[in-house]
Amino acid sequence: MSLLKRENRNGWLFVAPATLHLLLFAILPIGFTLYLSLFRWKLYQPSKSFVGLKNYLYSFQDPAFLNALSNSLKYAIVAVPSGVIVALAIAILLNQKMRLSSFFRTIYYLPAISSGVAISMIWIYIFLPETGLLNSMLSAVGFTSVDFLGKTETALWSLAFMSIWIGLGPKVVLFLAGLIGVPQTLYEAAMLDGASGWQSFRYITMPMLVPTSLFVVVTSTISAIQVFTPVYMMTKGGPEDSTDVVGFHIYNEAWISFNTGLASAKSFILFVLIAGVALIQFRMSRKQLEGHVTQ
Amino acid sequence: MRFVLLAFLIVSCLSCSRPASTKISLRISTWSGAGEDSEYDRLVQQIYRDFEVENPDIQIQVENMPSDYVAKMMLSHIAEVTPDVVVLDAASSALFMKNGVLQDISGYLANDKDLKRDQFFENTLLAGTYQDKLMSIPVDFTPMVMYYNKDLFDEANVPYPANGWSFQEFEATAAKLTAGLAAKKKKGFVMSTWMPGWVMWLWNNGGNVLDPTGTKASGTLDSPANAETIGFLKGLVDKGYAPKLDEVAATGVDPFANGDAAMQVTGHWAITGFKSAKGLNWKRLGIVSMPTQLKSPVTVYYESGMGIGNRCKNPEAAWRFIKHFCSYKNQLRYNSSGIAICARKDVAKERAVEPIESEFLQLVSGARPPTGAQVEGYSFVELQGRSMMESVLNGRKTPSEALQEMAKRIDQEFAK
Repeated sequence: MSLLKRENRNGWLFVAPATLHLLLFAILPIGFTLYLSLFRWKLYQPSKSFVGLKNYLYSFQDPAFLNALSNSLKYAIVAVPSGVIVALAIAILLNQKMRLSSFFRTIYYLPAISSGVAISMIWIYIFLPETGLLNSMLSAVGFTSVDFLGKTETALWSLAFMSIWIGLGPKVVLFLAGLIGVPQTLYEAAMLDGASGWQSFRYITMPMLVPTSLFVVVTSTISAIQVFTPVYMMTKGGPEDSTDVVGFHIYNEAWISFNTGLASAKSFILFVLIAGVALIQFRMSRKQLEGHVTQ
Repeated sequence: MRFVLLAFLIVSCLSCSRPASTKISLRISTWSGAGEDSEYDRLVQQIYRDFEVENPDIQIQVENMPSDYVAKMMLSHIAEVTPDVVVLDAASSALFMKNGVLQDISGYLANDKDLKRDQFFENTLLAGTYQDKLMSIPVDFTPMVMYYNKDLFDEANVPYPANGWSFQEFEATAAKLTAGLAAKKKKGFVMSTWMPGWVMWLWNNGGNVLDPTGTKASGTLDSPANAETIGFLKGLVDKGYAPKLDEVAATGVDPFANGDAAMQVTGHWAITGFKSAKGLNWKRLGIVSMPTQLKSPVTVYYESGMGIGNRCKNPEAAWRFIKHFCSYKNQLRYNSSGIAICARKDVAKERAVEPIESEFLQLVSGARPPTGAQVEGYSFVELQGRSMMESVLNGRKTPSEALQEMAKRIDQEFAK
C-alpha cells in the first residue's frame, strides 16, 4: 500500500466517528424529516397518507405559523445585534489589564453552563410586576411597574433582553480570543502614527475581528431563530401568541396536536430558513472577510 | 488441571447465580415526579408497597412522567411499550380511549365481588367510558365551583350566595362586595384566562364550544350566547368588580388566596393551598354552584382515573392493583391529602366532615366530564381558549371577533 493510500485510509479512520455521528444524528434525521413532511400523519395513528407538498402549502397559508415565523424573526433582529454589541463591549473591557478580569470572565460565562430551565425560572421573578427585581429598580428611579411578560407589547422584547444575558458567555469568550489574536504591533504602529483610541478600534480591532464576528453573528442568529426553552418556561407562547416563536409552534404541532407530517414540514421550512439566513450572512460578510485576509 | 479449574469456575458461577425472578412486573405510569418526598408521595408509595406485600407474586415499577405526560404516553403506545396500569386525566382521556391505548375493563368491574359500579358517583364513570365500554376506573375528581370568602362577605355586609343563582345575581353580589370593600381595594371576584376554569360559564348560558359531533366549532363557539357570556365576564373586569389581568400579575399572588378578592372559580385542589394561605381563613370559605341562566346549574369536573394498558400481558394482575388502589381502605388513606374528592361515594361521604366538603358533594350531580374526555385533540382548543380570553380581557378584540377567530382556528386544526 502506498504512503498516500495509507494516509488516506488513516485519515478516513480518524474522521469516521465524527462522520458517523453527523450521518446518524444530523443528516439522517433531516432526511427523515423531509420524508415525513410529505405525509399527512397523526403520530399515534398507524396509517399515513402521501400528500406531496400539501403540508408546505398549508404551512405558508397558516396564520399561526406565519405569526410564529414573524415573531422568531423579530426576536432574532433584536436579540442578535444587541447580544453581539454587548458581548463585544464586555470583551473589550475584559481584555484590558485590570484586576479580577479572570473572575469577571468566569462570572459572564456562568449563564452558559447553567440550566436554561433554571435561568428561565429566575427571570420570571426578575420580570415580575411590582415585586420583581427589574420593576423594583425601575420604581426606585420613578418609573411605574410594567408587566413585562403579561403584555403583548413587551413580552417578546423581554425575552430578547433576557437572551442578551444568557448568550453573553460564549460570545465574550470568542471575542476575547479574537482580541487577544490581534497583533500588538498594529496598535503600536497606529499609536506612533497618532491614531486615537476610536481610530485604533475602527481601523484595527474591527477589521481584525471580522472572522470572529461572522461566526458569532451566524451562530447567534441560528440559536435566536431556534429559541424554545424561555418561551416554553416563561410565556407558553402568550400573551395572545405574541411570543409564539417558530420552535414553540412546531413543538405544539408535534406534541400537543400530534400532526407529525405538518410539524415535519414546518421544521424543514425552519431548516431552510436558517440555512438561508446563514448563507446570506456569509455572502454579505465574504467581502469584508476577503478584505481582512488580504490585509 | 486447567480443565478442573474451568469446571470449578462454571459450577461456582452457576451455583451463585440467582434464580430467574418469577414475579410479575407491573409497570404503572403516573404524572407525579420521581422522589418528590412529599406527604402525598409517601402515601402513594406506601399503597404500592402494601400491594407488593399482599401480592408477593407481583413487583411494581413506577414510571414517573412529570411533564408532557400525554405526549410521552402516546409515544410509549406507538413504541408498543404502553405501561400496564395507566393513570389518566379526564381532560385528555379521549385521546387514550379512542386510539387503543387502554383495554375495556367493563368485564372486570362487572364480575368483581368487591368493587362495584354503584360504589362510584355515576357521572364520574362517564369520563372513562368510550362507546359504552369502561376504559378506566375513576380515582378522584373535583367539580369546578365558586368559592367565596365569608369573612369578606361579612365585612361588606353582603349575604352569602345560594346554589342556583343567576348571572345577574352574581354580578350584583360582585358589585356590592367591590363597593363594600373599596376602602381596602379588594374586589368582588377574580377571573382566570385558563379555559378549564371558565368553559362552564358558556354552558350555563346555554352555549358550548363544539357542535354535538365534537368536530366543528364554527356555528357553536361563535354563537351570540357565547359572545354574551364572554362579554359578561369582560364586563366584570371593565366595571372594576374583578381585577384586570395586569393587576393580578402585578401582585404575583392569587388574589383570592391573598384575601384580595371575595370570589373565585376553581376546584377542590385549591383547598390545600388555601389551608396554608395567610390571606384567608380556609374554615371561613364557602362554595356555591356556578351562576346560571339555566333551570339548574352545570359545571365541569376534572378527574384522574386508572386503566389497563392495551398491551398489558397480565391484565388480571393490573386489575388486582387497581382494585387495591381503589379499595375503601386505601382510598380513605389516599384522599387524606385532601387534594380532591374520592370517586367512591362511601369514602367521599366519610371524608365530608368539614362543611365545605359536604357542600362539594351537593354539587357533584350537576358536574359533566370535560370535553377532552370525549374529543381527542381538545388540548389545542384549551390553548386557543386562553389566548382568546386574554385578547378580550385586554380589550384588543371584542368577544364576537375573538370567538369567531378561535372557532376558525379550531376548525382548521380539526381538519388537518
